[in-house]
Amino acid sequence: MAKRLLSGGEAIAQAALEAGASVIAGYPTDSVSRLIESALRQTLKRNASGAHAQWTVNDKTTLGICAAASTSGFRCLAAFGQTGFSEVVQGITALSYAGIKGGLVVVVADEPSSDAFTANLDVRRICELAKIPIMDPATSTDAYNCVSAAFVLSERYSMPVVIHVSQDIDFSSAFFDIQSHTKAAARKGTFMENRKSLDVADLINEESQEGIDFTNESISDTDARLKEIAYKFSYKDTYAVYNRIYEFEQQYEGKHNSKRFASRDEEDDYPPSATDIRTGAASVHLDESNIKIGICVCGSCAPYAIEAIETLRREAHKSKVSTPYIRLLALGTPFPIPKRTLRRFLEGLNDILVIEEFSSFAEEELVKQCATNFLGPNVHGRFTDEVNYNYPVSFESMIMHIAAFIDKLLNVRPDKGFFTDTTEPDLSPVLNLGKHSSPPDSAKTLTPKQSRTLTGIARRLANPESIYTYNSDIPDRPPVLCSGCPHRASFYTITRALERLKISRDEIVISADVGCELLGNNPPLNFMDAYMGKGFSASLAQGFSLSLPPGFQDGKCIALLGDSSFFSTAIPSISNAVVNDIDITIVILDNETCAESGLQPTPASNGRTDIAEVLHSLGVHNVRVADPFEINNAVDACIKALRDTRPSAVVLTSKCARLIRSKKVTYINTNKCTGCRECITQLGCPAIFFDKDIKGRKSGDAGQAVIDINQCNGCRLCIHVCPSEAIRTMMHKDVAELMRQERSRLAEQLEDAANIDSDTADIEEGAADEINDMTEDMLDSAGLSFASGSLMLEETDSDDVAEEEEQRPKRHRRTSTAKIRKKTTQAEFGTLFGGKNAELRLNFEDEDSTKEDQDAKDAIEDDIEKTENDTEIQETLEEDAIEADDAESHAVDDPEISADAEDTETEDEASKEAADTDDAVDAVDDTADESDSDAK
Amino acid sequence: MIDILVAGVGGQGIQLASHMLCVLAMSKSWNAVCFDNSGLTEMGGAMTSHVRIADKGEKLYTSKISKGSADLILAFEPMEAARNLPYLAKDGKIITATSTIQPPQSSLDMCNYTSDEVIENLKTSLYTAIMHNLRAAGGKGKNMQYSKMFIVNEERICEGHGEPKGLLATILLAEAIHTECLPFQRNDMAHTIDMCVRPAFREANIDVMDTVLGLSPKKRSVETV
Repeated sequence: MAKRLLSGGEAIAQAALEAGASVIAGYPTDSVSRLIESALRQTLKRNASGAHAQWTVNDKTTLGICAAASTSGFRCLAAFGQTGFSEVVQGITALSYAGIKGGLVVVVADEPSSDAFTANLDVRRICELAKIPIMDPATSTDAYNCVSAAFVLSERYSMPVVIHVSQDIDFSSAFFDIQSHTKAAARKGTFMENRKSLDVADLINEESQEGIDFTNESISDTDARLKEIAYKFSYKDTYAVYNRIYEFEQQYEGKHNSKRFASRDEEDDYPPSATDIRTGAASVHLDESNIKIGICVCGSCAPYAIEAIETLRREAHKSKVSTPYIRLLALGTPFPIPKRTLRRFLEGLNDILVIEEFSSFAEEELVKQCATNFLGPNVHGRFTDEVNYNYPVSFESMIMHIAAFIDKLLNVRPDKGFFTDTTEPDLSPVLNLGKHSSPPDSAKTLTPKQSRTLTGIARRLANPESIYTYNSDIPDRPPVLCSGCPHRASFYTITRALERLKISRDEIVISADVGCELLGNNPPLNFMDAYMGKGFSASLAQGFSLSLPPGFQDGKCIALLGDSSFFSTAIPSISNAVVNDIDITIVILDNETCAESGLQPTPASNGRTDIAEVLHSLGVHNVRVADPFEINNAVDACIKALRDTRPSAVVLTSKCARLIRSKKVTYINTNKCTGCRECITQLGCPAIFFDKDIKGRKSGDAGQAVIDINQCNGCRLCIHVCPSEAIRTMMHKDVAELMRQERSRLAEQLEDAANIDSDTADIEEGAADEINDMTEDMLDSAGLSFASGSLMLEETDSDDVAEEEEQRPKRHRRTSTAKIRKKTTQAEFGTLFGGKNAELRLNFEDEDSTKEDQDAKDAIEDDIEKTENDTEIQETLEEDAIEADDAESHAVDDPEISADAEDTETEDEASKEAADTDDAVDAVDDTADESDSDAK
Repeated sequence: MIDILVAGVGGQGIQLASHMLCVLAMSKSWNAVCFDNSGLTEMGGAMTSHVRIADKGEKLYTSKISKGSADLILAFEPMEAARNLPYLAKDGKIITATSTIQPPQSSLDMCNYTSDEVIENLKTSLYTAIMHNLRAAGGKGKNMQYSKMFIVNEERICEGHGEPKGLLATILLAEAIHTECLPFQRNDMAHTIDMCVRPAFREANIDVMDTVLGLSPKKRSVETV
C-alpha cells in the first residue's frame, strides 16, 4: 500500500486495476485523458499484471473492444467523454439486452457548462433510455470506491454499468491508499463457452419473468433486472452507501431532537385531501419543532450542499437565528431510481428543495414518488422557479438557494414562523446568481431585520462585504494557440493562398472539427464559420458547397481537420464527397498528436499511417502535402488544391509546438521595426505584444512590437510576416544573457549614477568575455528548466541539434567579434525591454551630461549616422541572400552571415553605447582597434 | 484549514504547484484536496487551481474555494492575481510573480499592461478595501488582520539557476514558507521537491528555494507591501 495523490480519473483507473480490470480503453478527450494515461503508466511499469490499457482511434472502437473482451470473460473499463458516450449509445443499448459476462464499467466524464464547446447532455437520461444502471458518485473517494461495486453489479446482472464522473471529481485530486501492484481478475470463461447464454435471439424468445425473484441466478429480462438493481441501490450496503441521508437537527450544537417523526401511514388524514397535497402538511400545527425541510442533491453537488448547510447553521447560530430540521439526500444512484430510499427520505417532510446539474432528473423522480405514494411534501426546484438553471453548482449558489428556500417557507407560515419579519425574502438575487452574472451588490445595504434572516446571512457568506476587487480593467484571457503552433502557420498559409487566388473571406465557408484548430476562431485569425462537434467538418463543408448561393460559384468550402479527427470520424464523409463529386477542400492539420487532450498519439504519429496515402486511396484527386512553416511551398499546395473543382486535400504536416522546444528565439530589431503591428494582427501569437513606450528610429512615437523570449518557440513565422524585415532569430540563451546583463547594468547605473568611470566599463567587458565562453552546462540548464514545465517535452528538436553542431566549429569566429556584438545587442535591448528602463536611462543621461558633453555628443551622432548609412546597404544585401535561402528550403539563417550582419551593425551600436558612457571617441577607436586585431 | 488559490496562465506549471502543495501537506500528515482547471485552458488560458489543506480532525467537503475565503493566493502572473482578487479572504495574503504574459487580445487592442501598473493597482485596491473595512469597523479595527502582498522578482532570483519558467512553482512556494503564510519548514519543502520534481531539475529547484528562503548569500529580491 502506498499513499498517492491522484486525480479523480487516475483514482478510477487505479480502482479498476485493483478490481481486476483486464482491458482499459478510451479515445483521447481532455476529460478522460488522465484516466487512460494513468492506466497506461501502470501497465508500462508492469505494476498491473494481466491488464491491457490503450488509446483507441474512436469511441466506437473503444466500446467494441471492451464489449468483446467482456463477453470473453474479462473485466473491462471503457472511458468516454460526454459527446463520445452519446455516439455509442446504440451499442450500449444493445449490450444491456444482449448481456455480458465479465464486468463492463463505462466511465462517462463530462464538464457541465464548460468552455469546451460541448453540449450539456444529461448522462442520466441516456442511461434511462438505454436501460443501464448509472452511479453518480459525490467525491473522488466515492468514485474510487464505487468502481469495484460497479464491476460486481455488472457481472451479477450481466449489463454494463455507467459511472458518471463530473468535472469536480475528474479534476480534483486527493490522497489515496493504493496497492502498488495489481492483478487482473480471473476470466469468466471464454467467448466460446459464453456465447450460448449471451445470444440475443435467445433473449428475445425467452419469456419475461413474473415478479421479482431475488434468488434466481439467471435474470434475463432487462426491466426485471433493473427493478432488482433499484432494490439493491436502496438496501444493499455496497450500493446504498452512495445514497446518503444526512440529518441536521434544529439545534446547532448539543442535544439532538431525537424524537422520531411519525411516518406518513400513521397519520390521521391518510390519504391526504387535495389541499393538503398542495400546501404540504399545512393542517399540522406548526411550531419550530414541526417544520421539516428536505434538500435533495445529485452526484457531485452533495459536498457543496453539506458545506453550505453546515456553514449556514454555524453562522445562523452565531447570529442567534434558528434553523429548522433539515434532511439532506445525496443521491448517488439516479437510475434505476432507489424508490425506497426516496420514500425513506420523504417521510414526514413538509417541503423539499431539489438542486442538481443538467436536467431536472431527480426532481421529476421525487415528484413522481410524491404523486404515486400520496406523500405530502411539496417539491420545489426548477419547476417552481426556485432554482436557476445555472451550473456547475458552486458553494455560493448552493447556500443562497438553501437559505432563500428556508426563509420563504418560514415566512409563508402565518405568524408561527421563526421571524416576525413579514417581508418576503427577495429571491431575485438567488435566481440571478449564476456563473456569469454579477454578484448581488445589495449585500451592503441589508436592513437589520434582513440581516437576521438566513438569506441575509447567506448573502453575506456568498458575497462577503470585505471582498477585494481589482480597481481597473482585467483583460479576458481565453485559451490561445501556443506560440510556435503549426496551426497558426497553416491558417496564415490558407489566408495567403486565398489572397493570391483573389477570393475574399466572405466567399468561403470554413467548417472546423474538434481539437486545437477551434482556437483559430479567436481574433485575429477568426478562422472558423461552422462547428457542430466531432466528425462534422467534412460533411458540413459538403452541405455548404451544395448550397452556395447563385453568384458564388467560385466560392470555396474548406473543412479543417486535425489528424486525430481525420482517423476517428472524417474518413466516411470524405469518401462521400468523392463518391458524389462535391467540390470541397479538406485541409488536414497534422501535428502528429492529439494536442488538445494532452499529447496522445494518433495513427499518424511516428508515420504508422500515411494520411496522404489514405486520401489517395479514398479517391481524392488532388492531395498535396506540405510543411506549413515552408510558407511558399504550402501556399502553392493550397492554391493547387483550392483551384481544383473536385474534392481536393492539403495535408499540412508539422510537429506540435508542445513537442518541440527550440533553442532559437526571434527578436525584433528596434531600429527596423516600424510599429505597423502586422505581426500582431496577422498572427495573434501570445509571444508578441505591443509596447507603446518604445521609441525606435523608424517607428517614432508609434510604439513597437516586442517578442517575449520566454514564450517564443522559434517558429520564425513572424519573420515571414514582418514587412520591414525587423525580426531575426538568435539563440535563446544569448538573448536571455543579454537581457540579464542589460538589466544588471541598468541597476548598477542607477545605484551609482553619480560616478561612472572607466572601471565599470572594464567590468562590462569582462562580463562580455564570459558570455561567449558559454559552456555546455549553461545549455543544459536552460534545456532542463524548460523541460521541467511539462513531462511530455522532448529535450530539443533534432534539427536544432544539427544547427548547434554546425555552429560549433564556427564559434571561434563569432567569439572574435563578440565584445562588440555584445555591446550592440545591449544597446538594442536597452530600448527593447520596457519603456520604463528606457526612461530610466534617459533620465540618467540627462543628469549626467553637462552642456559640454552634449556638444561633443551631437558631433559624434552625426558621425554615427554616416556610418549607419553605409552599413545598411551592406545589411540589405546580406538579408536578400538570407531571404533567398528561406524561400527555397525554410533554411535557418546562415549563422555566419547573420554573425557578419551583426558585426556590421555592431560598430554603430557600439559607438552609440559609448556615447552613453561619455567615452565616445575613445571607445569607437578602441572597438575599431579590437575588431581589427581580432580579425588578424 | 488553509485555502490556497494558485492562479496563472496555462502552461506555467500551476498544476505542479498545487500538487506540490498537497504533498507538502502530506509531509505533515495533513489532509489535502486540490482542483485543477485543466483542458483547453492549459493552452494559455487563465487558469486556477484550488488547494485546500486541513489539519487532522478538520473535514474537507468540497475541493473548490468560495469567494472571499482564500487564505493565500499564489499568482504566477500579476494580472491573474488581479483576476482572482475576489477570492481573497479578509486577512488573506498574496504572493505574486512579476513578469507578465500578455493575452493576444490586449496586444490587438493596443492595451498591453505592464507589471508595475498591475502591481500598483493591486496595492491601491488592497489599500482602499482595507481602509473601507477599518472605517466600517470603527474603533474596533485595532486587532484587525490585514491582507498582505509579497512581490517576487523571479527573474532576479533565477539568475544563474536557469529559466524562471520551470522554477516558478518552487519560488512561490518557498516564498510562502519564508513569509510564514504556510506552516511548513525547509525540510518539508526539500522533501516535496524530491517527490514532485524530476531528479534532473532537483538541484536547480533546491538552489532557488534556498535563495528565496534567505539561506544562500544571494539577495532575496522580494518586496513586501
